[in-house]
Order: sequence, then C-alpha cells, then structure tokens
Amino acid sequence: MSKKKSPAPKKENAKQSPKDKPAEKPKRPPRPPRTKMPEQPPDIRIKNFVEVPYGLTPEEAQLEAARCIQCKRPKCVEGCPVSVQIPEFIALIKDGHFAEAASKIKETNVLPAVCGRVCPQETQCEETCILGRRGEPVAIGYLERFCADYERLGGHIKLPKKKRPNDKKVAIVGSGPAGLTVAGDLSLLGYKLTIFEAFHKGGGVLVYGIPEFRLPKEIVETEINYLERLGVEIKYNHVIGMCKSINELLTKDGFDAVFIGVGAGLPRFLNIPGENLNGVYSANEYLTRSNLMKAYLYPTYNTPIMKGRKVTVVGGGNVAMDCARTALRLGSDKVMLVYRRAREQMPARAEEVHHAAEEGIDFRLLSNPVEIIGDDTGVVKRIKCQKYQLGEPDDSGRRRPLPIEGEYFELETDLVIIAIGNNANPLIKATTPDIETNKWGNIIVDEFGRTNKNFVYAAGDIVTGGATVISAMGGGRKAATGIHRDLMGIKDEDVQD
Amino acid sequence: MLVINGNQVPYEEGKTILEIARENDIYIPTLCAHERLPSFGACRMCMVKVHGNKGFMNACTTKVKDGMVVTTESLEIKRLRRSIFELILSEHPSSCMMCAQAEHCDKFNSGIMKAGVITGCNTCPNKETCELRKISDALNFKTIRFPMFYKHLPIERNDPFFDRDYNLCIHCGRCVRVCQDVEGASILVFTHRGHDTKVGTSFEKPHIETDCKFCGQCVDVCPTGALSARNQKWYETPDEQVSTTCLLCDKGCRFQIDVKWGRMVGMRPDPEYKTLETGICVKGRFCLPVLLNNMDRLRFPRIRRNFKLYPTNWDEAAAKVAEIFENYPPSKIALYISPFLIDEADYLFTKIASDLEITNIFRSKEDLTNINKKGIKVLYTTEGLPNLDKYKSLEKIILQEVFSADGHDFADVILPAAAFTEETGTITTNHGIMTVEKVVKAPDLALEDWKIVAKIAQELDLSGFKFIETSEIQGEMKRLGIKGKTRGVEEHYLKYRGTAIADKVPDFKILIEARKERDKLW
Amino acid sequence: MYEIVEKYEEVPNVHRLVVREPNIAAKAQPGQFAILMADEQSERVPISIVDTKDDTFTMFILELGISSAKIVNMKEGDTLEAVTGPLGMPADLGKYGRVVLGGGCYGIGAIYPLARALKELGNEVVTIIEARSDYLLYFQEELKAVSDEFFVATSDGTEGTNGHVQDVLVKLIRDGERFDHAKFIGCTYMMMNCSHITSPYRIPTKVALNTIMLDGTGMCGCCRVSVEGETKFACVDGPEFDGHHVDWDELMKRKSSYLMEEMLAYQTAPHTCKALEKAYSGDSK
Repeated sequence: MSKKKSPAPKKENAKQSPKDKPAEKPKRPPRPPRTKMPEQPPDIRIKNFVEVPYGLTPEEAQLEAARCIQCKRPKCVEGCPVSVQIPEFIALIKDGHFAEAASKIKETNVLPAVCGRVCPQETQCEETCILGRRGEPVAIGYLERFCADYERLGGHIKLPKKKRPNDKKVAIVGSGPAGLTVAGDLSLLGYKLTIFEAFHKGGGVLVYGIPEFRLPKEIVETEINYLERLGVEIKYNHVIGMCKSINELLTKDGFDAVFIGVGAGLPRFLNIPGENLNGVYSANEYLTRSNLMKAYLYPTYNTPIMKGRKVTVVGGGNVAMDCARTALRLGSDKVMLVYRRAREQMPARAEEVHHAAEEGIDFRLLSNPVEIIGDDTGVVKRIKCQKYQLGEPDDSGRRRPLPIEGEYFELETDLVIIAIGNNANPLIKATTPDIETNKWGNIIVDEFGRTNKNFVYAAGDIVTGGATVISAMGGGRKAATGIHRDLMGIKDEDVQD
Repeated sequence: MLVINGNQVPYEEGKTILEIARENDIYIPTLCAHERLPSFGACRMCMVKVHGNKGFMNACTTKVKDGMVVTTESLEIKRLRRSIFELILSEHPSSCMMCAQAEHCDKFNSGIMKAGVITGCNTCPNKETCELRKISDALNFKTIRFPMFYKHLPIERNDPFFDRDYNLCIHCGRCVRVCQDVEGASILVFTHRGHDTKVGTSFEKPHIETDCKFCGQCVDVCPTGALSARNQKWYETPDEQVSTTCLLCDKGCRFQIDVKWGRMVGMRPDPEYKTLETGICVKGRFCLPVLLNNMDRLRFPRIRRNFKLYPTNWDEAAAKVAEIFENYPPSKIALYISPFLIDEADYLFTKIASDLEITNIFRSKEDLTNINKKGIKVLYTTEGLPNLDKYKSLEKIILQEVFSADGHDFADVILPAAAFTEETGTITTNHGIMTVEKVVKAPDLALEDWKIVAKIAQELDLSGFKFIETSEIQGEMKRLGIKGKTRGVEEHYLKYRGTAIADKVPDFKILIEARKERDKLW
Repeated sequence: MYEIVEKYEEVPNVHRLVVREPNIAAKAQPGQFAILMADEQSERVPISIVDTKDDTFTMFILELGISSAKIVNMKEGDTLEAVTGPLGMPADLGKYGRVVLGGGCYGIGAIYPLARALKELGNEVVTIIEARSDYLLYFQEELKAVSDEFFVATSDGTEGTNGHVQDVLVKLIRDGERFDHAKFIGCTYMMMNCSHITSPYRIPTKVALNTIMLDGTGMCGCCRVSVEGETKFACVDGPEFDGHHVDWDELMKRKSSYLMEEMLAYQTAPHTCKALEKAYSGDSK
C-alpha cells in the first residue's frame, strides 16, 4: 500500500465510458460512472466503532444525482417497498435543493437516514434502475443517505404538515422499524399514538441489533426524536404481555387499535453439545451487549462483554457479519465465520460480505459445528465442525448443503457466537392465546396487517420471520393503511389502487 | 550474642526482638507492627518469653540485650496468643475463618463479590492478603468462644477516593501512626476512650473537610480492609508490579504500579525508593489509573475529511502533517512543546524544528500571543490549548495529545500520544534525571511522542531521526551536551497536558471543588 | 422515570427499596422479578419483587458491583433510569401440605411472598433463613408472621444453629419431619446444597435461579440454564426450576463469566454515587 495515498475525494475519476452512452440520444454528454463511496481503510476501521463510509460531499452527491435519467415510468420506485419518490428527490439534489429532497423522501419514508444505510438497495430500487441494465445503477442509497445526513447535520429538520387530530388512539407494541413506520404514517393522519417499548431505548433492532459502525445510534435517536416532535408518545420499559396484555390495551386502556411489531426475538441455537459453555453467545446477546448497552465503551458503560482472542461466528447472514465485524473491533486477533453453504448462498448483503472479507474475516465455508469443547472451568476452547458439500437446490432455490460423512475438523476458539437466526418470541402468543399464529409462532395477517383479532394488527419479523429493516417498514406501512381504513370505516373494496 | 528458641543468633545493638527474629526467619505473629512505622505494642500478638523476666514481653517494643534468651513458641505462649486473637476477632467478621463450609464455598464461588459493605467471606477484598487470616491459620484457629460483636458504625463513603468501615477495625493504630509519624499530618487519631475507642478524624468530620491530603498511606498500611481505596480494591493479586517516576510535576516521586490484565490497577509509593520519606500525592496515588485508563483517551490518528474528523492510520496522518509543513513557510509555523513530554521527545521536537528552520517554539501560554503578532498560520501543539479559535491567523492546527481536549474541534490532524506510563525514557526532576518505565501498552494506535516526531521527520525525508529506542536519543543528547531541564510544573498543577485531571477523575473533581477556597487544594 | 419512595439499609449490604411503578404494583405475582437501571450507563439488574402496595413495589437489593452500588447509593426521591416488569413466570403455588422454605442473603426477603402465598393457600410453612452472623439477619418478624415454624442459622453461631439452612434442614428431616414441598432462594451454593439434601427424600424442590440477565424477555439467551438436560431461559421459563434437575456445575461456571471485567469497571467507571457528588460539588452551596 502506498503510504502517500491521497485522501481527496475521487472527483477526477469522471472517466468517460462510451458504453454508458445510449445510442438513440447521441447528443447527451457521456454519463460519468457511479460515484464510489469513500470509506475508512480496513486496517483502521477494524479497530474503531466509527461508521465505515464517510458519506458523499455535496459536490459528489450532485454529480451522482446528475446521472439519473429521470425515467417517465421509474422502475426504481416499484422496487422500493415503501415507494419513495426516487426520481423526484434525485432531481432536487441535482439542483442543490438538499433539504427539500429530504422532505420529499420523508413523505413516504420516515427513516431515510436509516434506510440509506441498511437497505439492500442492490436487490430493490437499484436492481430495477434502468441504468443498471447497461452499466451501473444510480447510487440511490448513497443519495438517500446524503439528504438525510444533510438535513440532520444542518440541524433543521422540518416537521411535515399533520392532519387535524382525530379522537382515535392507537397502541404500537415495539419501537422497531415496523412500529416507527406505523407511528410516522398514522401521526400524520391525526391519530394519537403510544409506542410501548420493552427496552429503555427506542429503535428495536436498530439500536440493539445493528452495530454503531453500520448505523450510528445518534441517527436512530434523531429519528425517534422526530416522531416525538410529531406528537408520538413512547413508553419505555413496557413489556407488553407482562405488564399489560394486548386485550388490556384494547379494553382497560381504551386504545382503538393495537399494532404488534415486536420482532422475532427468540434466538436459535444449534442444539449441539457444549452450547452452554462460558464463551458461547447468541448473536442477540452479543449484539445487544455491544450496541444497546454499549459494552464497547466498557467500563464507562457498565455492561461487560467477553472479547475473545479467537472468535468463531456461526451463520452467513447480515447478523453474522455484524457479529464478526464487532468482534474485530472489540480487539479479537482472529475472527472466523463458519457457514454450511458457499459464499454465493450467503443470505447477507453482498456489501456486508465484501466489507467483512476486506476486514480480514476468515470464512470457513461449507462447514457446520457439531460440538463445542470446553476446559474444566467451563470455558470454550475448541469448536468441532463437519465438512459439507452442495447438493441439489432446495425449496428456496439455493443448493442444499449436505454433510460429508466422517470429515471433521477442529478450530481453536475462545468465543463462539451463534448467528443462525431467530424464532418468534412466544411472549405475545402466550399472553394473547386467541391470536392466530403459524407453526413457527409467526402471527398470521392479511395484506393490510390485520390479524384474526379485531383491531389488532401486526407486521415486521413477528409476521415474516427474520427479514430486513425495509421489509418491516413496508409491512408497517400496509398495517398503517389497514388501521386507518378500519378506524375510519373505509372498506378495502371501496379503495381503488 | 543472643539465643532465640535455643539457637544462637547474632546480636545487634538497638534492635528489637521482633526485628532480630525476622532477620533470622523466625515467625512471630504481629498485627500492629509495620516496617515503616515506629513500634507501638498495641495488639500484643507478638508476646514472647524473655528468660529471667516475669510474664511476657512485646517482641516489637523490647530492645534486645546482649546475652538475652528468648522463647517465641511454647504451649503457654500459643494459648496466650489465641486468647488475645479471640478478643480481636470478637470485633471483626470471622465467618471466613470459622465456617465449616468455607473451603467448599470458596471453590464454588469463584472470585470476590464487590460488596458495598464488607461482611466477611467473599465480600472482602482483603481476603487474599488478610493478616488476620494468616494469623488464624498459624494459630490453627477454628472456634471462637465470644460471639462477634458488630459495632454498627456507619460506613464512611462520603469522601472521595477511599471508603472507611471501622466495623472492621482492630485498633492496631497503623493508620494513626503513619498519618502522624510518617506524613506528619495527624488527620487520623484515636477518638473516644476505653471500649468506645475508635479511629477517625477529630470531631468525626469527613476527611474532605479536614486538611487530609488524600495521600493514601493509611489505606496502604491497614491490615484489615477497614480502610480501602474505592477504585483499587477488587483486583486481588496483580499480574506484575512495575516501578516508574511520576511526570505530573517536577517533584519526581517514584511509585510502584500494580498491573493486571494489561491495565494499571493500583498505585503505591515505591517501597524500594528510600529517599522519599513521605508518600506520593493524591494525583499519583489515586488519580493515575482512573485518568490513564479513561475511555476518552485518543486511540487513533484522525484527519479532517468532509467536515468531520475520521480515524486513519499513521502513514496517512504523518503524510498529512508533512504536507502541511511543506505548504507553509517555516516562519508561519509554530510548535508548542508541552512540559509533560519526556526529555527525549522534547529534544526531538527542537531537533525537527531546527531542521525545518522553524523558530517559533512556544513553551507557555504566554508565548501564544506571538501567534497574532507573527501571523502564525500553522500550530503544531503537543497539548490541548483553550480558545484556539480566537487566533484568526491560524489556518491549520495539528494536535498531539493523550486525551481529546480543548482545541480538538478545530484541529485538522489529531495525533494520539502515549501517556508517560506507556513509554520508556528520562525526565529531569528536582531529584535530577530519573527514568520513566513502560508499565503498560498504549491503547490501540497511540504512539510515544518521540516516535510520532520521527514518523513525521521520515515523511519529510529528514535524516537523523531513525531511532529504535530512547537510549539512542539519550546518547545523541549526551554527545551534543544537551541536558534536560526541569519543566517548572509545581506540585499542585491540576492538568496533565491539556486536560484537567478533574475532568477525567470524578473523585478528584469533588476534592478540588470542595477546597477551591484554599490556596493549596489538597 | 421511576421514583424511589423508600430506601434504607436493612442490614449491612442489604437495602430495602420501594419504587413507584403502577404496572408492576398491579401485576406482580410471587416469584416474579423486575429489571432495574440506575442510570443510562448501568447494567440491567434483575431483582426479585417482594411485595406490592398501592402503586409501589418493594425489593431487597444487595450491593454487589457497580450497577447495584449505583442503585443503593440513591436516595428517597431520586429516580431510576429504567424499571421493567413484572418479568418471569410466577412461582408454582398450590396446596401441598407441609412446605419448607429456605432463604439466604437477598433470599431472606425474596422468600417472603412465597411464604405468605403458601400460607394463604392453607399450607403449613416451615421457614429457615441463614446469614454469616446475627447482625446480617433481617425481616424476621415479617417471616415469622407467615410461617408456622421458623429457624435461623448463622455461620459463626451468633444466633440459632451454627451452620447453614442445609444443617437445619438435615436435622429436621433426621428428626422425622416430613415435607411435601420445598423452595429455596439465595446464593447458588445454598440452593444446590439444599436441593442435594431433599433429593433422596423425594421432596419436590423448587429453586429461584439468579443468573446473569440482559433483556429479561427471552430475547438474548444470556440466562440459559440446563434443567434435565434441556436448555431453559431463566428469564421467561423461570426463574423457578426443579432443584433436583438443575445442572449446578454449569450454572456456577456461567455466573463467573465477567469477573475480570467487573473488577476493571471499578477503576475507570465514574461510579461515584450521586449523593457524594451533590454533597461536595460547588453548586450545593
């Protein structure tokens, strides 16, 4: 690596590529390539919790915005679960109206700073971007993030116009992405909203799950603050099911509707020997300690976390990547990731896998733990894995991993993090037995988030099982529509869409 | 000549029986005796038989005489000691010595519970070093005839730095003596008389309202855990102990640092360093681990990018500094050299300045007025300076610090420096040149100040900065006849580099806030 | 914010804490617990709920470690950052006949709601409590009032039997006492010993496990324990479990997970209690 590399943003890389030029419009100047997001070098960022990408400068953002061809029938909007008016906000950026661009996004997306960072754009808006057919799509995610940051750092977040208050009260259980979306949508429609959050901080998976270096918590706080300024009340430390039941919210507390957005939240384990040794964490515990309780700032924050010298993360999703990258930042010497399929089948976002690989995570693919071995003080020492190979595609279309008979290997490790997903937390079902769930405990809803119980709605991971932030937001948007229609007496069939 | 337990031992005029016995590896149990303190004869555990004398004598107070015949162990002596010990234990929790389950329970409950009030067993931070337990083992003590009487004295936790629980006190008087005889302070005294005797301050005031300097010597000599350092009592046995010199002022006190898990966990005056009669001050005894283990330490070089300071690596940071130096004429560049640098780092700064023909070298706040006078555009400072924004001529600020501090927000480059406990070198003190030892590793990418200078020099293609150890720099200084100077930092200075110690050490803040009316704050 | 209505030190290290939280006051059942945080930096500390009255509830909290130190150093009228509850399954309560209860440390207080409920259900309640020394015993009158028989053990013999709950228990059983049910709350060592004693006599035995916890809602699995070979979460499946089937060895090892970290915390955490800061900071004058 050259030690005198220039930190200057790559503005001069406006190299022209003739491929980008659409043949039918020869007069259009050649389109510059997609702007690269400047980011912290891997050798540095693995030691700090500061966000990895630096964000675009206004110049870079305008340059990127200029790449958008402003399609008449924008495909990108179709790819967005919450239908952000993408060409419109990009046009505003291009003209330098950054704050207006942010307001434009907020008309349909209450959490732009979050979505700009954690949405899998490559499989949503950017996948359908027309530029992507012949070259690289517009960096919609970067631009969304830019607007939101510009608005937040400028300190002038504008409140949108609200409808006149109606007399309806809605309870929202859980302040994760689904709950925040419902709150954002319904508060604009004039509802009185109360969010019940089990933790002492709002944001759900945004605060306890996603690490600081991917989503600074200051952003989540700003978003929640914004909702509070819209008049949403947040009651922290309320575990619905324990301190109040869903039925009590509807009867005793007089809510007209209840929205359940409690997330998945029951960690899966491998059910192999040695899983209760000291030094075996669920991803939920590891990330909650580090993110929500800020164990990486221990002892200023009092919640401790085991650091581990050689860490093994089991799983191949975004959460596994988050765990592995957190472990590096907490000072581990070596972080291995054990996953039973190959890299192509990893459910994690390509960008996350790329970042993890860049940071030096050791991928041990096509292998699966069969036993965790400890010493006599009950501390993890080694993990025994079986080798796998890929067989025929299964229902999900991914090639099925098959264990190879008799082929085992052991890894030396002192910390194991199990990141193989979550089941539905049974707390709501146990205390609201008449709510209908499927065999995995996920709540069954219709297309507008209605459960089998009148005026009870649900969305997010408690409905879909572990999925993405934006899909939870999409579900929340649908549920908000459902709630609005039901409370206002609008029949679905009367609405043309 | 002298006979102890039937063996002849050499006689030395003026010594006590206890001293002679210890020199000859003869064990006599003691509680009130302490090597740094004059004999007291309070606990009477050291009773011995001196032949020809009636009754028993205190080994700690009885001076030997030529031809003396002494017995330290006999059935009678043991019985006597057990009775005395039983009386002492009637005022100190003893379940940890007496409980039938103690051994099993210890195996099962690993580690010490960090209890607010010590009630014995695994609530006691002194458990491993408890002198009462040692004596109990030596006397094979298993039952007690008198029930333990708990005095229900209030736990004194309303002072900074140390907790006091006189329910655990056995009135050995070590703390009173160290306060009077060693420190010359007499803050701690025996109050009340007879059965109500108690150690405390006069009028039972909190220490912060007395003239107590919080030197912590009373804590260091307490054998029971009645006096304990609130921040430094739970680490049990340290992994290693390293001695070094304090750099916080010109006094040059030596202290010994307990290191555990690669962190500084405890401090005390260096017992090997006999020239210091009194202990180290409150900054050294109590503040240093809290200060230097603080989370606010600078850990990464940072450079300004997109209006924010982002972490980066040393190569990029040094290149950035070099770029700044190359883009401005030397007359517009100033160096601020902190008095808290070791001599070698100070020398390297003056060396790089002369190589670059930078003549604006500032060493005090007064020098800063030159910024406006000379229209300085670049300031490279080795400590955080307040109000840098008011110097309108400054275009670039390079801040080399241990903590994020004043001026941080305006800096273009931030360079994280190692603290003085994380580097090896020399400093010039009132006692002359003294060595500073590397006690622990600097956090993350923080580097010794002299190494930072060397890195920048390398980036500027300057020769003569390729040092591997500070001893090489010392050699060069010696060859050139350059000597370090005392830095003119007086004992009661409240900062380490640009950071107010009180900002990082809450207890210290309480102390100086409470005493801000006095001219000597502690 | 959650107001501390009442707070005082019952005996050295054991503090009675009454906090205003209407939801817990309305809903708490014997055997459940609450999670407390003194301030934003604190750990989440699980504490057994002992009693409720109007819109307040009572706990006994031991000062062990920074986060509990912060709580007990608060004063009446101060507010806690977070109080969550009630959490956990209520204790199994039924009409068993003759029931023996054992409590030590915080368990002396925590056993009280169980004794009272069992008594109300018509059981004969025999309560045994233990402490290191007589001056560490508390809540005796209250416990006596809901017990048919009441015994005390101290490790140094200053009151009652010289020994522990297990010693009293062994003696009662050897003397021919029959128990139909047993419950123990206190340090893990005591609960284990007592479970070992009741096991050969086939006395159904429940213990309330005090594992390390984080969220308290079953989300993290930090509190997992092996009971009869199966992994359970103490926060949602417990805290009460069958004492004869708990993997005690594993439990004890899991409790020592953070010893090193906890010790370091004392050094750098700005944990000086609020009272101290108020007393000596300039603005109080």
